[in-house]
Amino acid sequence: MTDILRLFGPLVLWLASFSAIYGLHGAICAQGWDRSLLVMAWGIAVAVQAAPLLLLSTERFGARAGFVRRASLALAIVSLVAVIWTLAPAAFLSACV
Amino acid sequence: MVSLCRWVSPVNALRRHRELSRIWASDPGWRGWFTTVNHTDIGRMFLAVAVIFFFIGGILAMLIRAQLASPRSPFMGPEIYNQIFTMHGTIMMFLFAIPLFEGLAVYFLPKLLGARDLAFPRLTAYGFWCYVFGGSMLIFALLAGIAPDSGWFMYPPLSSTLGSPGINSDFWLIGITFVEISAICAAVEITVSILRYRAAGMSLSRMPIFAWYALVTSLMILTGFPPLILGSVLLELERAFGMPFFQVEHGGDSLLWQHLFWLFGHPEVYIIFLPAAGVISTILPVMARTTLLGYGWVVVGAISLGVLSFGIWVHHMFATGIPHMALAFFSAASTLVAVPIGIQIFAWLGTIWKGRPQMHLPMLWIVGFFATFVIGGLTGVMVAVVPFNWQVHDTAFVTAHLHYVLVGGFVFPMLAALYYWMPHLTGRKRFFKLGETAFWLVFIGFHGTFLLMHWVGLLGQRRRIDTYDAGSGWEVINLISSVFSFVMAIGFALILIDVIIHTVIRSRGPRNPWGAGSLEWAMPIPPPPYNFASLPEVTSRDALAKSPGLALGLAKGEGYLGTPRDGLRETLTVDTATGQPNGIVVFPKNTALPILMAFVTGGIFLGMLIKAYWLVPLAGAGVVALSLRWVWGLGHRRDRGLQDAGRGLMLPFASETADPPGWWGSVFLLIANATFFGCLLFGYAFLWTVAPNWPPPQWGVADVRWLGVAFTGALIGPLGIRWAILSLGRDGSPLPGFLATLVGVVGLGAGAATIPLSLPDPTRHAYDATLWVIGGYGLFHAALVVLMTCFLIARSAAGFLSARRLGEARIVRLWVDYAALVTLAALAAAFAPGLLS
Repeated sequence: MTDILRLFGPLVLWLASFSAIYGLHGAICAQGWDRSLLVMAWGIAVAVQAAPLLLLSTERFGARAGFVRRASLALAIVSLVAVIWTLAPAAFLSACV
Repeated sequence: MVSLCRWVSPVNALRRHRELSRIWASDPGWRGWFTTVNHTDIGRMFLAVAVIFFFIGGILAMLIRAQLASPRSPFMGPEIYNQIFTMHGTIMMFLFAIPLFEGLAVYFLPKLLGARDLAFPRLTAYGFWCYVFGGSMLIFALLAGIAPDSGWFMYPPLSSTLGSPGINSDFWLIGITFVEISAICAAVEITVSILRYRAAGMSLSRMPIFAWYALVTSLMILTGFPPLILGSVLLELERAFGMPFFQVEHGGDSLLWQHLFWLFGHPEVYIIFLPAAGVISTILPVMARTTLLGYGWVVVGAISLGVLSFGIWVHHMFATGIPHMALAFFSAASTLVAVPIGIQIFAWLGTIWKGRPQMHLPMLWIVGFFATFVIGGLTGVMVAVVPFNWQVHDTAFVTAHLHYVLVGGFVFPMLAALYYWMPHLTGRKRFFKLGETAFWLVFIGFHGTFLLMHWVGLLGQRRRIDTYDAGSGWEVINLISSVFSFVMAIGFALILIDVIIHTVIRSRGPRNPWGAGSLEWAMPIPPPPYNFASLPEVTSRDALAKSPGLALGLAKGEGYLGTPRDGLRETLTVDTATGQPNGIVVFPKNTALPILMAFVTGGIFLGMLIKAYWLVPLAGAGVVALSLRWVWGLGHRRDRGLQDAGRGLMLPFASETADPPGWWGSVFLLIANATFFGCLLFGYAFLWTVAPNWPPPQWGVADVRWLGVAFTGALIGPLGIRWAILSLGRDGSPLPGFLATLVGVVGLGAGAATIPLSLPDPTRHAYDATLWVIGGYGLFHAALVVLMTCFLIARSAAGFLSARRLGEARIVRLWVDYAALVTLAALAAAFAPGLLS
C-alpha cells in the first residue's frame, strides 16, 4: 500500500493544490480580496509540491524496489511540472473578468 | 521465467481437474444463470449484456442519422427525437462502455493475474444484477415512450420539474444511479483483486500492463462516479421534494449541476479510454512479436493521465461565463494531458518499430485506432483552446470530436480485444474471414460519417437539433454522413454475424493461438471454472513466454493450492508490493443472494421512481436483512492456524490475518464515500460563494449541549472500538469496548440530527436543503455504524472473533473513525457560518 501511495501521492497533492487554488480564486472574486493571494498560493503550492520529490529521493521515504522508485520519482517530477504549468495563469491573467 | 519446483501434488491431473470442476462449477441448468458467482460466468454475462446495449444504442444512432439525412424530415417529431438522442448517449456511456470494461476486467483479470477469482465473487454478481435491473428500467422507459429527453448531461433547469415535469428525467436520475452501484462494486473488487490477488512472485514491476490500466481506471471510477451520484441525488431531491439546489431564486445554481456532472464526466472519458489503452498495450506487443517498449513509462503515463484528468472538468464549461483566469487554469491542464497520452502513443509506435508486426485482424483494429484516435486527440487539443472552444461550442464539431475519441479510443480497441481473446472465450478458431470485411466497412463508414460532421459543425450546425432548413448549406454533408453511417452499421452487423458463426461452428483452435506470454493462456480454453489447477509462481513479466511448459506444470499440480481441500474454493493473497504469498482465501459457493439483494435494492429505486415512498424503507430493511445474511456466513468459529498451501508453504486463512480482503474493500469503498462527502462540501461552498441570493434568510443555530454530545461521541466511539480490539487481542471480552462504541456512535447520530432539526424547512433555501443532506449523511453513517457494532457483538457471542480473528473488528473501526470525522465536519459546516456571522 505504501508503494501505491508513493506512486499516486504526488499527483493527488497536485490535484489538491489545483482544486484549492481554484476555490481560492472563486472566494477572491466573491469577496473582493486582493489577487496577490493567488500568486502567493501558487508559490506555496510549488514549494509544497517539491516536497514529495525530495522525500521520495531519500533512502528513508523512497521505495526500495527499483521500479517503484523510478516511477514514483518520475511522477513527482510530472506533478511539479503540472503545478507550475496549470496554475501559472494565477500570476499572469486578470482574476475576475 | 517461472519457477515450478520439483514439488509434486499427490493428486493426478485428471482427478484434480474433476475435483476442482466439481468444487468451482456453477449450478446446472437455468438455475446456474442466477446463482453463479464465478467470475468467468459473470464476465461473459457482463460482456453479452453490454453488447446488447451497444446494439440498442446503435439502432438509436441510425434513427438519428435517418432523421438528419434530409432537411425538414418528417421521420420523427422533436419529442421522440429528444428521447432518442438522450438515450443514445446514455446507453453508450453508462450501459455499454463502462460495463464492457467491467466485463472485460471481471473475466480476464484473475486469469492475467494468476488467481482463481476476483476478491469478492458475490459482489461481482450483485453488481451485474444491479446493472441489468437499472438498465432494464431505462429500456422500459424507452419502449414506453417516457424515456429521458434532456440530453445525456441532464442539465437543469431543462431536466428539473420546470423543463421536464414528467417522469422522464426521473428514469435517468434513478436508473443511472442504480447502474452506478454496479460500477462502484466492480471498482472496489478490481482494485482489491489487483493489489492482493495475484500470482506468487508477481511484484508491482511484474504486473501485466492491463492490470495497471485497470487499477488506474478503477481508482478513477471510485473517485469519479461519486460526484455524479451526488448530483443525481440532489436533482432527484429537488424534483421530488422541492429542495432547491439548482433553483436560482432560492439560492441554488444550475451551474452546480454542471460542475458535479463534469467532475464525473471528464474523468469518464479517460475511464473509457484507459482500459482500451490497456488492451492495446497487451495486444500490440503480441502482434508485433516483441515486448512492450517503455513499460515503466507507460505505467507513469497511465497514472499521470488518470489523475490529471480530474483537473480539466471545467473545459466543458468554457461558454458559461467563468472568469478568464479560471478558464486558463483548465485550458492549461487540458493541454497537459496530451503529454501522457503522447508518451503512450510513442511507446506503442516504438513497440511496432522494435518488433516484426503481423497484420492479423486485432492488429488491423489497432491500426484503425491509431488513425482515428490521433485525429480525436488533436481536435481535443483544439477545443481545449478557449477562443476556438467558444466558436464550436454546442456544434456538431464537438459531436464529431467526441465520437473520434470514444469510438476510435474505445470501440476499435475493444474490437481488437474481441478478435484477440475470442479463441479464449470459446476455445475455437475463426472460420470465415468476415471480420476483415467488417473492419473496412466500419472504418470507412465511421470516417465518412464523422469527418464530415466536423465540417458541418464548423459551418454552424448545432448539436442535438432535430431538423434544419433547406438552403442552410448542410444538406449534402448530412446526407453523405447518413449514408456512411449505414455503411458503418452494416459493418457492425457483419461483426455480429462473424461472432455467431465463430461460436456455432465447432472448429477447435490451439491453446495459445497468438503465442502470447501472459498467464491467461496458461490454461485450457475455454477456461475451466477454476482457471488454474494449481497457482503459478512468476519471476518475470511474461511468464508463459519464458516457460512454455507452464500450463502443463500447473495442470500437474506443480504450483500452489494444487490439492483440493474439503471442497473449498481457495486462492492465494499476496503482499501488494512484493507479491509474496501471505494468505489463503476461501471463496463463497454459488448462491442466489446477489440477485435477490439486487432485486430488493431495486425496490428502493423503484419506490423513488413511482413515488411509492412506503416501499423505500421496506426495501431498505430488506437490504439490511440480506446484508446481515450475506456477511454472517463468512469467517470461522475457531482458529484454524497455518494451512498447507502446497510446495511446502504454510499460510493462514485470510480471515485470520490483520487485514483481510474485507478490510481492503472497506478502505476503497470509504475513498469513494469520502469523495461523495467532499463533493457535497464543494457544492455547499460553491453555492455560498457563487450562487446569487445568498446569504440565506436565517443561519442554523447550534444547540451547544448537543454539540457537546456529538464531540464526546466522536471521542468515545473510536476509543471504544480500539478498546474492544485490544481486549480481543489479549483474549479478553470485547463487550465493554463495543458498548462504549455504541454509546459514542449514538452521540454522533444525535449531533448529526441537530442539523436538520435546526432548519425545519428544507425547501426554503438551498442553504437549508444542503444542510439537510449533510446532516442526513452524518445520521446515515451513525446508523450504519450502530448496525455494524451490534453485528460485531453478535459475531463475538457466536465465536467468530478471537485474538487471531480481529479482521472484522478492524473493518468496523474504519467505519467508526469515518463516521466520527464526517459528523464533526458536518457540524462545522453547518454551524460555523452562524457562529462566525
